[in-house]
Amino acid sequence: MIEQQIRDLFAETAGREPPAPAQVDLHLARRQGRTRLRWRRAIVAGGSLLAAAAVAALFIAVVPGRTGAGPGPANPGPPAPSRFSPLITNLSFGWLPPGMSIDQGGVVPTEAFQDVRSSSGSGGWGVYVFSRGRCHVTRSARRLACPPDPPGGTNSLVLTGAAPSVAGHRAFWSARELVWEYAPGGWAQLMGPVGEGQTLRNLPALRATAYKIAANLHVGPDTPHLIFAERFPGLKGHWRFTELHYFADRGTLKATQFILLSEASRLLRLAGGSALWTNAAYVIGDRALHNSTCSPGDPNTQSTRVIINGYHLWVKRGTTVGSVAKQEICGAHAGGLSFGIQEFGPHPAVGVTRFFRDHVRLLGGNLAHWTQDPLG
Amino acid sequence: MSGSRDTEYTEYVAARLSSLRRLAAVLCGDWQRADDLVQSTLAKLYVHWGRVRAADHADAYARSVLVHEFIHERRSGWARRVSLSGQVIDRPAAAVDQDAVLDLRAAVAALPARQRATLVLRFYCDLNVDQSAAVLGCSPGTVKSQTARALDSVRRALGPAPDAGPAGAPAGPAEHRVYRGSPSHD
Repeated sequence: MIEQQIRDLFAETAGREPPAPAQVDLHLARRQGRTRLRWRRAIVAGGSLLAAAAVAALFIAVVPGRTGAGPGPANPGPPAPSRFSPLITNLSFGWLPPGMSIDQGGVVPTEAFQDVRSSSGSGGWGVYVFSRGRCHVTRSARRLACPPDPPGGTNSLVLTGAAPSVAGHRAFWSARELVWEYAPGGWAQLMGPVGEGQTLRNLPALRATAYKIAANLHVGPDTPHLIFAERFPGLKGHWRFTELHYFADRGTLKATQFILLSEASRLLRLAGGSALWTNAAYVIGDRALHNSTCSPGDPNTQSTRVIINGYHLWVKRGTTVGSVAKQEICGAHAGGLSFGIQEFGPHPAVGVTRFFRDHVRLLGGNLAHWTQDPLG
Repeated sequence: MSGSRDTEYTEYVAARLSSLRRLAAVLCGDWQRADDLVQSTLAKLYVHWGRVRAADHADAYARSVLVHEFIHERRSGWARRVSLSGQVIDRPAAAVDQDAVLDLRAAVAALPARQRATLVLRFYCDLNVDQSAAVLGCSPGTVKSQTARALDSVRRALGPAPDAGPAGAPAGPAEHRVYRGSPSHD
């Protein structure tokens, strides 16, 4: 009796017409998810703010992918870049809807993304661009296939049909995205604030906005520079950046999380689909917050206080997920910065203490003092 | 980093958004809190997208995340304060003590989160005891006991209140009856 009444009550509640539109923002959910992913993996990796660099990079590294055959048919104009620079955004919006501004972005050698958001925090757009040859449209034109970067996994995007060209470049619809070849051999995906049960293709206003954004999207070397909170003397020519994540802050785009790879760096795959670079420096550097911490009490590490180049730092040694050896140097308030380096593997190429002592110069919490050329 | 990760995720959750909202509405009792719950659930699904994709029953996984998010949220003092001071359910302005349905709704809303979730899984999602146990991460026996306690609480809430006064006298507004005590103890 009471069970049936409860069933009826639940059915009646669920059967009501929900208020529309839903107050659920998928773009916001993705952004929140990315942020949680970084910090969640930071906790797994050791519980320090420094580990956030590693996990942000991991987030970038766990790319699903599928091997492709090559670029699609040629389009007019110069070819797409074959590699993306980690010192710039590699893409810029020539036009955005009113009230929209850049939120965050990321770069790996063959892929760059950027999210924009409205001043209200909802209804944003996101774009991914891929380097020349990274993706191709399958012969049946049903999928955009992209090999992963770094390698591993599978990936393809289901296309739902041909779309009108974007500034003369061939284009396709996926369920919720506009996909187009922004330059010969280079593909882009634009995701908009499409609501429940809708497609970008079938929403005239959003579709028009998408085309205007896409037509004005620029990809190439003449795009905004990122700024870095540190210089790395003595590394030029031997180390390179990858898996960089940047955020908008006071009119700047600050690269606060990235990996420095050496010739000895190797990608180590872990259970669960994640991966780590060994013999690489996972770096995080951002303006310090009052509550920044290095979590020296992490039970999985041995922590030691040191003073290097005048900065009070923690050096921590332990293991991370997958029982991979890690060492870390961390300064929660190092000259106005929260800064750290983490290395994985039993025999790191340099070692975090020596790396910090010999190859790191912190530039302080004032963004005006940060550099666009951290290896210079 | 991949656009396709986002695309797959977006396509999946967009297709399930309606059902997730309705389940959240049944759990929460109002659409505003339901949408808040779905929003936080979607962020978690993004974090665990690899597991969702790999799951044999991705929808069951998503439902489990939502239910756990509901229980977690209801455990917090914030949720209790909001429930007690704000609108608990979508409630018409009728005299609630004369409407058995509204009494029932209030009684269910007053249940501890885990008991309420158990009832929702059993009587809205039509899961059996074992399936409900899998979602809640507890034993089948716990599901049975939680269900029994919940039903008993609802029955008692719908019956005459112990201090309702002389027999036959109105018991007072259902919301007052339900919420004057401790609202939730998980």
